[in-house]
Amino acid sequence: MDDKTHFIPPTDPNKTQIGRPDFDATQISGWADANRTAMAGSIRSLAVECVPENSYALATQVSRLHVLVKIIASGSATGTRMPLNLCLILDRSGSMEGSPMEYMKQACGYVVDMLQPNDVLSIVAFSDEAELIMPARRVVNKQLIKEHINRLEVGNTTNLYDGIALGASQLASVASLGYVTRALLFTDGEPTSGNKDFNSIVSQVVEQKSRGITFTALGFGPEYNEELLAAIAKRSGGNYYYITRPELIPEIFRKELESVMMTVARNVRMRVLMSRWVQVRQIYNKLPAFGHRSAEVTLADLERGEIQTAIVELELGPRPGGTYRVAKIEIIYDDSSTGKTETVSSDVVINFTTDASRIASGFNPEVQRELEVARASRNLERTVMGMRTQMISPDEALRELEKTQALLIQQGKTLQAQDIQRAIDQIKQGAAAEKTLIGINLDREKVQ
Amino acid sequence: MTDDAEKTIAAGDVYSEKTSYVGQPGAEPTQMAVGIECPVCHTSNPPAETYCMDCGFLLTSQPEEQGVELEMRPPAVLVTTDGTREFALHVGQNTVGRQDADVLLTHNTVSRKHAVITVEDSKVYVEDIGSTNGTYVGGSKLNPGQKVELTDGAEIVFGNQTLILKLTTPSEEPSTKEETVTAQEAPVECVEIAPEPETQEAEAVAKLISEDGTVSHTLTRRTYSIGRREGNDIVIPDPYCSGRHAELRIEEDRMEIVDLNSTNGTLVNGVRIEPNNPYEIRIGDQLTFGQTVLKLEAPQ
Ligand SMILES: [Zn+2]
Repeated sequence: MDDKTHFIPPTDPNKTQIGRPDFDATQISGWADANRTAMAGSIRSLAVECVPENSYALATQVSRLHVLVKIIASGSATGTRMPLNLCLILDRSGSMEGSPMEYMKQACGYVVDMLQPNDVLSIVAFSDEAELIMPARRVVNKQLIKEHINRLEVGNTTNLYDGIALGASQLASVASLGYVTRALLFTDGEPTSGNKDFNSIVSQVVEQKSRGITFTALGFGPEYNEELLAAIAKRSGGNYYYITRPELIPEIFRKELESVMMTVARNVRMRVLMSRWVQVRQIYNKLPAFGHRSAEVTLADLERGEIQTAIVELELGPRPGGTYRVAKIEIIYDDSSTGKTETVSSDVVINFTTDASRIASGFNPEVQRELEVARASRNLERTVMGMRTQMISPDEALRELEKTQALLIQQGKTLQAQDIQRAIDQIKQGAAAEKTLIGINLDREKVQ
Repeated sequence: MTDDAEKTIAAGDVYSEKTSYVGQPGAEPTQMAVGIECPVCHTSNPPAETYCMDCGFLLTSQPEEQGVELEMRPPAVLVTTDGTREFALHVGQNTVGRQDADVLLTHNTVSRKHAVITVEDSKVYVEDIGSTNGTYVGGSKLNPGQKVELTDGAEIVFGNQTLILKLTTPSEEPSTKEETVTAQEAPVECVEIAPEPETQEAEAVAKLISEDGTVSHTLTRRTYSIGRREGNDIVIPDPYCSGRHAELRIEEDRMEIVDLNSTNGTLVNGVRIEPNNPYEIRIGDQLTFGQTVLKLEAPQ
């Protein structure tokens, strides 16, 4: 049975259809999916809620309005987890010599132990070129898989691009339906061979993302390019980790695998559908793709109990006073509970009035707070960029970070405030803090 | 409702706003509503819709009782080359940049404070205010502090973001009467749709369709207004198309198109025609309004 019910007009033979179907088609193409609803009764993993900064707007002039979008992943476990289609993409360049290599092997062993026989695993290693250590297969003979891993030896250069390509081809060889697909990319250095171009590597990841492949980027040690790894994770909806010491590698691998196992929503996109006289000015800290009366951005995968937020700024044109839906926000994603692509949506409804006093009293403090955090996130990005390019001094960076930290504490974002404290300590010790800072996500809140 | 009986439908006038819904005096009381016309933008909505599919108005409510200038047209707008975004400019200084700007371009090739566009005395100027990647007009880079006047249709590049200036030409200036929408009685109590007039008078003589098939109009012997704005017989949702762009006249033995002095002109088979001068067209001709190409085809 079809999982979607379409609106079907009543077929009373006495009724004539509206006599201008062409007219409608040219006007409302942006809302073509508006009537689509998921079948009742299916338990979807995500819910979306929109909170406008103000429920009133002036009818007589152009105004701007922020809308807080909250994407909430249900917190309760729904029976068994989805099987994984996992690929380990491992750096075996010369710099991995010694304890890093040993800890990496140990970490991979942990991963194998945590997997179930219905999970699929593939392993790729890269140095001068990429090689397939183990093609995609079910995790049945764990001992044999560990033997493959233990045979890994250090090589020379870092051919990250080919490693990503080979790993992605292994993930793509498994039919994606019914699996949580994820690549764990582990590296300790800048790309030094193969295609080394930043943009080529990132666009390859974006292309793989369009095939449903999410990358988690695990950077180890002081040498890797944090901007590149953060971009890989962000653009593919995965996580980013900075591993400071080799003995932490197994622990971080375990943590990430647990997170992947709790994934309930993959390939998550947010689409803002605008009504007439409405424009999207910006979506904070995101780069939207604009279409006819629509703006779309990619969001990170969500795990159980996670809340992601986004802030959309709209520009609203003048109109006759009254109640309007100014936008409809859709979240489109692959649901691990239902095994299907689902859409959840929420309307942004605003009351247009000529009474300015209503607007003054109508501001929502929650949205104001989240807006502060979004601005802090933007400032943080600027601080990191300033540190990388040495445009700002360590003292200036410290001042900026302390300001951001104070704000986060005030807004109850204690985990992120702790991360900033770590970066502050690193700077005070004369160490680089960019690798820590670039991984701070202010728009994702996980339980625990 | 009292004036329902007075509404009549003109044969062949299926595109007219006012006559789309006609009361059937003898209709059964059990008949269901089949459509709701939005009292604000006059879009016809399926009965299941809570909000107007076009303007978003809450269809179970009534707009406030006073007239508001619906399209308070800005003196000029900037549009993206793909036409998906429009930035209205106001009289005075408009900042362009990546953050907190009037023309907000959140792209990393655009500086936070990139340029200023000044609108004064119906002239538009642009000035780069020390951007990293520069501002280009018509392919040449502006020197910092250099203020350049922009003409209609000018291409301005900020970083790698290209925008096109569209001035509101006096010929497009709408009469206030036409643009002022006064809240009127909402036709919520929906009534039976009149049968589509399939009479001889309304015999289809041609079809106007877009390449992708999204725009398709069957043409009968009459005159059609064409433009971006609602209320035209043929609405083209293209920012490069003027509000009132052209008129299409289908007569007994002749079809012609008149460009109504539109900003970007009307093209027939790729050649721009003279404004305000009827131009004869035939089945098979290609008509371009803004960036929208429509083909005139035989009715079947
Ligand atoms: Zn409407």
